[in-house]
Amino acid sequence: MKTTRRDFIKQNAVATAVAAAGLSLPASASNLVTDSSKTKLKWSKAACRFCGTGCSVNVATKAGRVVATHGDINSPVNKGLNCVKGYFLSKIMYGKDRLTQPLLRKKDGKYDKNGEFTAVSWDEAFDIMAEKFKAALKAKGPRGVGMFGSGQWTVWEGYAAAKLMKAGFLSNNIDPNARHCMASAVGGFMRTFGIDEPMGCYDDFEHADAFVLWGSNMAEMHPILWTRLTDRRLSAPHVKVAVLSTYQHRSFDLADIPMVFTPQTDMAILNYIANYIIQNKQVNKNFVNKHVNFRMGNADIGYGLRPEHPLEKKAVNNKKAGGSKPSSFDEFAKFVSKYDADTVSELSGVSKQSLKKLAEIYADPKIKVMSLWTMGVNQHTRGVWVNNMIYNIHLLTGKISTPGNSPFSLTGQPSACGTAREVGTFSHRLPADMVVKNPAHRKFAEKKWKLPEGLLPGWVGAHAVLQNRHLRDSKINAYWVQVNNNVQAAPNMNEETLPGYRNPDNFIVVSDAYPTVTTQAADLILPTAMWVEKEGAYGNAERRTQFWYQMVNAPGESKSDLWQLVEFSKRFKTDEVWPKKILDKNPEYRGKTLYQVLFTNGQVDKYPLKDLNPDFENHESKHFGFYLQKGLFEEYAKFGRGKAHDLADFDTYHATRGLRWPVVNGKETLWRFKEGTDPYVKKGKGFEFYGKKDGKAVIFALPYEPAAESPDKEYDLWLSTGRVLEHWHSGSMTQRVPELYRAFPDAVVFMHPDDARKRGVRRGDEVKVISRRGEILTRVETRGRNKPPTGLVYVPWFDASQLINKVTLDATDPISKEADFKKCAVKVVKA
Amino acid sequence: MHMALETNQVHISSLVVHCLPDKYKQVLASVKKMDQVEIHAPDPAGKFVALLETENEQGILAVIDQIQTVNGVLNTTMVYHEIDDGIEGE
Amino acid sequence: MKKLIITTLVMAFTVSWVQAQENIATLRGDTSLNQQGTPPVMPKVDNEDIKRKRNYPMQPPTIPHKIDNYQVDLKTNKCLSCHSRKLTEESRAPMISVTHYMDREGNFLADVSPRRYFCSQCHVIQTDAKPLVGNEFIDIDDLLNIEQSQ
Repeated sequence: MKTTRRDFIKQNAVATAVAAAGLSLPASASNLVTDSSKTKLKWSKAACRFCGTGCSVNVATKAGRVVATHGDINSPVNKGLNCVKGYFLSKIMYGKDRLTQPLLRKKDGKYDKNGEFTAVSWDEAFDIMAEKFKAALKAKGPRGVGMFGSGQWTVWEGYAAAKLMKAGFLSNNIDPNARHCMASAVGGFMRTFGIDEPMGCYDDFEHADAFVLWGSNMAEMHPILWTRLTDRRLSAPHVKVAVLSTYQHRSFDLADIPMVFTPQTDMAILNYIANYIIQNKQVNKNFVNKHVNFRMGNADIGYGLRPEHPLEKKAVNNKKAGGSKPSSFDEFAKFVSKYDADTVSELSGVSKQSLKKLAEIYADPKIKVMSLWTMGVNQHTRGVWVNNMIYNIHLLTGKISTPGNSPFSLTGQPSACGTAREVGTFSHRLPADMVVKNPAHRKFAEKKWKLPEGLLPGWVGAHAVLQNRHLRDSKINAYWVQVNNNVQAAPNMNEETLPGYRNPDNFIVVSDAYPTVTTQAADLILPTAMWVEKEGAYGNAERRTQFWYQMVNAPGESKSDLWQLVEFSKRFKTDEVWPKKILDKNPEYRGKTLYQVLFTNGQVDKYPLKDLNPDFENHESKHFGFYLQKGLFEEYAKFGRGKAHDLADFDTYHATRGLRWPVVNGKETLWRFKEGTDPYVKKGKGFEFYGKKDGKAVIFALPYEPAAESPDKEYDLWLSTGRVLEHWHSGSMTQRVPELYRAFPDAVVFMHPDDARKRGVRRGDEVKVISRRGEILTRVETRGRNKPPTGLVYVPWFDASQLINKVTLDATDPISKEADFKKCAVKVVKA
Repeated sequence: MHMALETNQVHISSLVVHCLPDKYKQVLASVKKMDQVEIHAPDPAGKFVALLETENEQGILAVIDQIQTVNGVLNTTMVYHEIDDGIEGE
Repeated sequence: MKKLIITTLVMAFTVSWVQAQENIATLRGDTSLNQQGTPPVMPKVDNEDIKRKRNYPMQPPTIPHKIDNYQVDLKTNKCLSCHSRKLTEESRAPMISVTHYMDREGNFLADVSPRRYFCSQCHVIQTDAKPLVGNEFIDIDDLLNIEQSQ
């Protein structure tokens, strides 16, 4: 036993070095040990299954099982490192309670909403599912069905899902859980630049002189990027790190300028910085004159609550939340002038000295600065505004699109960029930044998809929070959830999500690898292949698209989301779901199944099975008879090529550790909008923000506005929620890895010792965290990694037994529709 | 103070060695002679992998120093290091 | 299966909805979605100082002792005060892997690479909490044994 383990290590040591040096081992030379056949492992590359950083890992398989993983030293992202979650990827597929067959609620042998989960065949599962979808389509039209997906779908899964919903069922009621995560970032990009995703890339980490974390706890949430930031900070003593948050966390360990601010006042701080830059005459006038327009944004835009809510009735501009009118530098200067140090220090609770130090980082033209943010900014009822305001200060100083000068919107999920955003699985989007509302975009999509003109719906579908409201209100009756756990994630579970899922009018299908809170609320559960049980592609936060092969088979009857989507499409005929008018005009589409018109259209089924890599399985392609992933990817890539979203060809991605789009003439793009580094910038322009017609980015004048719900006499504490390092999102994978579970098994409420004392509780005591919407039981932590100030508590949401989303508020940013999981009012009492 | 008992450890590591192509044969011969070193994937273009089995970290560093001094060696980069700590399974 | 318990929900609106039979075991155990059990008492951190078996050689070892109040910040790194190369002789703690002395490009440094500075990003403590579900990962040794016995 000793020898085999050592042989395994030796073999791995050589294989890793050989790969690193670009050497190759002849088959015979790989006989490292006397009996190599016994210890021989197959190593292949994959993208990590967890966060938006997009680390690359090497995966070892033997006898149809994953036996080891480690950080890929050839990956420019992580250079051999992983965080603790990444190091335990090997075990995520092996939780004992993997779902292996479809489960349908049944009573007396028949489907019953109130029945017990019973194992059924895929045929029976799809039969009832098709029946329910057809009934909903018949009764309510395309608006009666819905789908909720994820930034954890692979690129082709998201693409197939969007195509099935939008072009098949003609329903734009499809949204990803990236809505909870990145929608405000998207809104910020589209408003300021007219094109989505960061202009810079991770190489900025090695170039910046200062880093500013806006409400982001990278030390726990983006650990590998944190290693790059730490590397830079500790290797170059002049580098400064500023950390802003509403409570103290692990990222403060590296902070030169630590700042804890009152929730929601980030907006005031950002306007103060803009004001400081202007007052101290540090505006980069040349840059601003050439490359920037000014606009005055609409204010008083509401909070995305149900329309009957008093806050919505009061809001002047809640129907025109995204509106703005042309403005000027002088108006902007005047607008921000009221955000002086005294006012903002008072409002935010940050000292004037710290505010000045922070502002100076941006104002000093010699300092290259990287701003970083994720959920603190995005999960915010003014999330789009805060994104805009961060760009404001980078644009005022011209600190953008060059190495180290980088406003960088970090991503939460592994493919929030690659799938949710680029493919456009949002209720308002089509691939490559196009939108359903624009008739020209729809026409373009119809052409690329070889579909009849006028087929695609132009109405904006229901976004994440609205889908749950529609389920509760019986407006959506057939609903399919894939790759996410929204009953645990979505805000205000008691009042919206759970009543929606359990509404007797509705049929809820949930595809998952494990029994989750969401499957618990479902009517039909579909067992699902995960990660390297299928061929996949993810796109990370720096526009890097990465591929992997299927390495092992999924257990039991589990099938990938892709297989499920495509196979299900066979059960619908165009005549059942498309308008008669369109079919009369285009009779050649009559009598066809959705599978035929969407997936065997001569494009998706273009690549034969002989194109498959013979060293790997591909269960979907072998089932359907053509290289499905390649066909979907190549059809999808046509949307973005020549439109500044260029992707390389399919095979290239299998041979590289990813490439950053736009990939033009085989070359990836590191810094967009800058002449010389972005092929789309015209010669002589210097910078060109080509997402906007006139090539200019926009600086928006936007005010500070209060949160939707703030502490008062009864509910006297702010509640912030989020993740912990050891767990990914709702914990459905990481809670099943014993080492990760034992590292952080249960949620707790992090609170200040004084706040605990005032309530007569101590560390470890059982307490209730109560809001106007619901409550949870948990235990007090006063000494943990998060150290909130008095007046604020923090509860992580990974724990299925302590559903903090019973407590959170379903207020959203009215522009992005993203919920604010960081702010609501609660009280904590001894249980 | 925490004192974990040292066990029967073996350190396994791998290096990529780059050398001048015209000195390749001599370099390979010299490195082959070293204790605790196995050669893998030799490439006459001037690189190969050295697999090391040593008792401790110092051993690795000593071998690296030794290789660096061989005439014709340009660079030695460590790629991999693991400790087989001799702990048996439950 | 489980008994159906309907409780008064904190609900602002009256909605008719079905309390589902929940005969599927999730990480919540038997608890229905509108209920919550008593949260487990805070687990103790394993402080035995005994090295644990790793699942595969590249897995970062878990920490076999408490790390409460360990300061790791711009000023100091408490972990390295025992585990760094210079200090292991005195502390008798295991020295951190040599890989931790390499930079992003694989070059050796005189001291620990700053990219490895925050130990807890990869190395975590273990509490005495009992895992909620088993994990059927098979490590390479056991897999080889199974194969050889077949």
